[in-house]
Amino acid sequence: MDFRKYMKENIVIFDGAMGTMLQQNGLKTGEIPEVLNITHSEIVEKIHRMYIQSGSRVITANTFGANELKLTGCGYSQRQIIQKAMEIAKSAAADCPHKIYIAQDIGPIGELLEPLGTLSFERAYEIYANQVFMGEEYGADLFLLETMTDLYEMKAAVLAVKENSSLPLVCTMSFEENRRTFTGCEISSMAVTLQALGVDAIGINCSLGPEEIFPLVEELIKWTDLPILVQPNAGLPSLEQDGLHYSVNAEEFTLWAEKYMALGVSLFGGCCGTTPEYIEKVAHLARGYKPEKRPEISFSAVCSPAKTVCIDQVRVIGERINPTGKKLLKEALRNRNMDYILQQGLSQQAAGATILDVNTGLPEIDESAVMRQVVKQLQAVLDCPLQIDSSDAKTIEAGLRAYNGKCIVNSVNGEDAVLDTVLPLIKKYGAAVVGLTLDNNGIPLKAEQRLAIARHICEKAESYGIPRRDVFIDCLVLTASAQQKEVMETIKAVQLVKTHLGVKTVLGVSNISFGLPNRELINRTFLTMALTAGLDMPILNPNIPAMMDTIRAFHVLSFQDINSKEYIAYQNTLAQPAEKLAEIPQTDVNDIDYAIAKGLKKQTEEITRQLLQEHDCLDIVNEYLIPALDKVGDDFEKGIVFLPQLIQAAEAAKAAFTVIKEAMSSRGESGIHKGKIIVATVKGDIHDIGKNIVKVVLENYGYEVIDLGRDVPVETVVEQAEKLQVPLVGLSALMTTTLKSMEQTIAALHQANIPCKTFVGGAVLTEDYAKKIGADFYAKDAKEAVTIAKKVLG
Amino acid sequence: MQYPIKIDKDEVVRYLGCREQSFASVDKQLQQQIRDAIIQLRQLIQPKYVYKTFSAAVCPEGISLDGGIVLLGKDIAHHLKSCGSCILMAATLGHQLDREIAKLQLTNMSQSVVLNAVAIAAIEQVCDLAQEEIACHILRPGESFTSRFSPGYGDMPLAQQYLFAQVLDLSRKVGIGVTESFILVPSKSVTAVIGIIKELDKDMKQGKCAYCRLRDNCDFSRCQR
Repeated sequence: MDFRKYMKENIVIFDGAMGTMLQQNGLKTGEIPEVLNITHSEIVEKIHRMYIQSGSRVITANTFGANELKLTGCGYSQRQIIQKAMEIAKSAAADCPHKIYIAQDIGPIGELLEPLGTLSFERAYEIYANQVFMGEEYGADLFLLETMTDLYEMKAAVLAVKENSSLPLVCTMSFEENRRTFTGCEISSMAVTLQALGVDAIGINCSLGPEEIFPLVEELIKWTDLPILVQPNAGLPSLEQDGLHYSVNAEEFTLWAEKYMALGVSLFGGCCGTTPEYIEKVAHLARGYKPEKRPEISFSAVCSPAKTVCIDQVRVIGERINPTGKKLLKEALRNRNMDYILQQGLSQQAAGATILDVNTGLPEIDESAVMRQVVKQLQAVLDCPLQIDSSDAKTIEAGLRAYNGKCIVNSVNGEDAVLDTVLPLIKKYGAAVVGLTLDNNGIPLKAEQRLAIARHICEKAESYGIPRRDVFIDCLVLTASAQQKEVMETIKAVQLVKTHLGVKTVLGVSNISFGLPNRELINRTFLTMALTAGLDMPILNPNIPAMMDTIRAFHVLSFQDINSKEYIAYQNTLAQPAEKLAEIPQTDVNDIDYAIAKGLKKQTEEITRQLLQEHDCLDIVNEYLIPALDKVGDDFEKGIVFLPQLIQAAEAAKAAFTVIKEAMSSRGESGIHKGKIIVATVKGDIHDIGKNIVKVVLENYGYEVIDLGRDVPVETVVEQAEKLQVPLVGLSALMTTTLKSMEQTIAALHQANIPCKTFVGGAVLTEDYAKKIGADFYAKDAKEAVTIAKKVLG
Repeated sequence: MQYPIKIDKDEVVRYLGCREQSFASVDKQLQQQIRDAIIQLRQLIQPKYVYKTFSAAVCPEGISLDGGIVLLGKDIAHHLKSCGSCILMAATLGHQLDREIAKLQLTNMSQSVVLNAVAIAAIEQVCDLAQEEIACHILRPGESFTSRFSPGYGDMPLAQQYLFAQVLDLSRKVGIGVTESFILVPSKSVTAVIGIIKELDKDMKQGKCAYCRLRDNCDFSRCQR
């Protein structure tokens, strides 16, 4: 019987620990367990046989760590080890009267993926795919991805299985008692993401005992209707004089197993510390159980690893990461100025956006490559789920693949050509999708026609296996100034779609007011109308307080904010007096030194404005700002002020520079061009705080700093230095091991004959070493970097 | 971890680059930043540690532990020369802190630098507390610990981080990963060897900076105080 069918009809008993058993049979600390497949195959086979005799119907081949990285230098090839593991498992199962299912066991790679570590998602995929090929080839019945703690790594592994095999796939992750994995993944996010990715069963294993995992599974079961696998440890370990002991014995373990089965768990096994004795008792118990039919889930949800968002109340989608009509964002996308884009994300999240729309569509850039980069970097600092906004299938796929969690795609429409291209991607990558109620004939004027298109989209989606809860319909907002008559049609369409299709709805609210004065008033009035009609997800600018206020008030009036709790709490925060700043009594132009030294942004801006009334822009920079910064720099050198204060001073000066730049562009003067500097943390290194400090300080001396980020390949530095013709390149490395990359980068710059100077910095560097590796300058701190920049660029 | 973590504010000031000054002597605004960062830190960390005990013997390459494990280098051999056994340990503050420090670099660089310094003080503190807990469990009367010795100290190759990762099952037990360049992730993580000695050998180099190659060229060092 096929495993999928068996799983539907039976409680499935997995095996218990392999590692614990190997240790009992002589595996020493530091030995690679998978090597025993070759050196002591009889032990591995004996363990499988013991589990089969105890009643395991699924046995897990000894391949948990059989990936190319972990096996490096073990003396055997990955192929040898996996082939042998499968042979052993098959041989152990051969004389059993009933079918034993052999799971190829796949655990974490052991290196952390970007953005936490340096292993790329694509490389992780490759590593897993190699394991999957071999598992298929040597006759696995199913794949078990287990003990994962990073949802992103899990996603890479799931895609590696699903793109290269049609075998059943069971996935488990390990959680801590705080209900998160080490990397911060929530139970809900695991469930929502893996269910959408279409795996066969999910669950929790390792890390904790049955008692501690129980409440976690109680939560898990609310978030999924997939079969659930639980493999707890035999309680918590304690180290005694005679070795490791686990706190839960086989009898207790079985009592817990019964509770799990009563809860609806239909796949059960053991992890660390469990033995055939445990499995035998559980298997005996399971004979009295059949899998329960669990109710289908009906909620709409999207997530990032650390945050699951249910569309059960109004959820704001922030619209600001979209270059249309935004000069600065266009510039940032062109220059890949990630900081600006990330700041847009952070400020929207702070203002109350729950989901962020991301659009990287500019004619002159590689939309899909930029989408991939922006998605990854936003997720490195933000917990908001994202909405990939593009009409280009390639960009949509790039975003979907790079995304960690379950996102939204914006958008498809009623055209079959679009639906047949994009919906398979939505299904494959497990996303929700926005459907626009338009087709080849344009936007229908009448609400009923829009409903018809919405229905077509829903049906098409269902035909691709995308449930209706994951289809969000956008009934389209036409601008009131041009099509005033149709405004109410949109409202009506929202009502119809809600009533007849029961789907969640989206609207780009700000479109309503194009061409009208006082747009905010029109926007928020329309928002109120749309919310009343059943709008779930307005796409808007959350940085406009009136819009967010409208939603807060709506939650009160629509009985969603029960007892007005959130509303009152929010109003109370407004009532509190703003934090008292260390004010100076009157702003006098001579106080600019003080304002900058103390990092007082507001005062610095104010004084700069006063100075602008009497001085040239460049004079202010050269006679006031730079000397003030220099003074702070000198104090820093003398040890009178510290790094945080130096940075605050630099940031205050930045506020002044911003005022001056505005003045210059309004006076038609050309900007401050002190020259470009590239900074990068070298290949292999991920400690970038030092580089970022240097960047902030240099920028605030008026230099244009191009930040290539961290873990930057040698070629990228050379390529960018050549392309941008920068006179100065700054490289940072923290580790002795990554100083090599620094040396290689400098050598490559020389070899390519790039006429630039280099400066280097980092904790383990010294003046001598900097010289030795061919750097022109050694910057021991950010202040020194400024001195170097002045020398090279003036 | 059972004990509350207490951050030494003077040490934070030193990590911020001023070895002559104490917390009391710095600017009020900076004092407040440090206090804020300590409050913030407490909400961001999930301290965890793991350890294992081994027998230890000097061998030509360094120190050989049971199970065929070898710690490489003359310096570790010297450090453990009077020890019949040792522990390998690892401790971490967790991933969430790294993420917050990265986020602050975009919104408030100055505070990010302060939080980073507080975090460095905190991981040292966590290691000290872990060491105390472990001592309660495993040290017999008359025994004590040497100072901690980590890969990258003296001539012990940083590449031995992999050994710690494997032997202590770091990714599974405490969520620490090692990158290709042997960097520990989360960044506020430590791996170390601690020797178990009967009586403190008077000749032994002690103190955290004893084996540091930068000891004569360092702004943060305690040994120069």
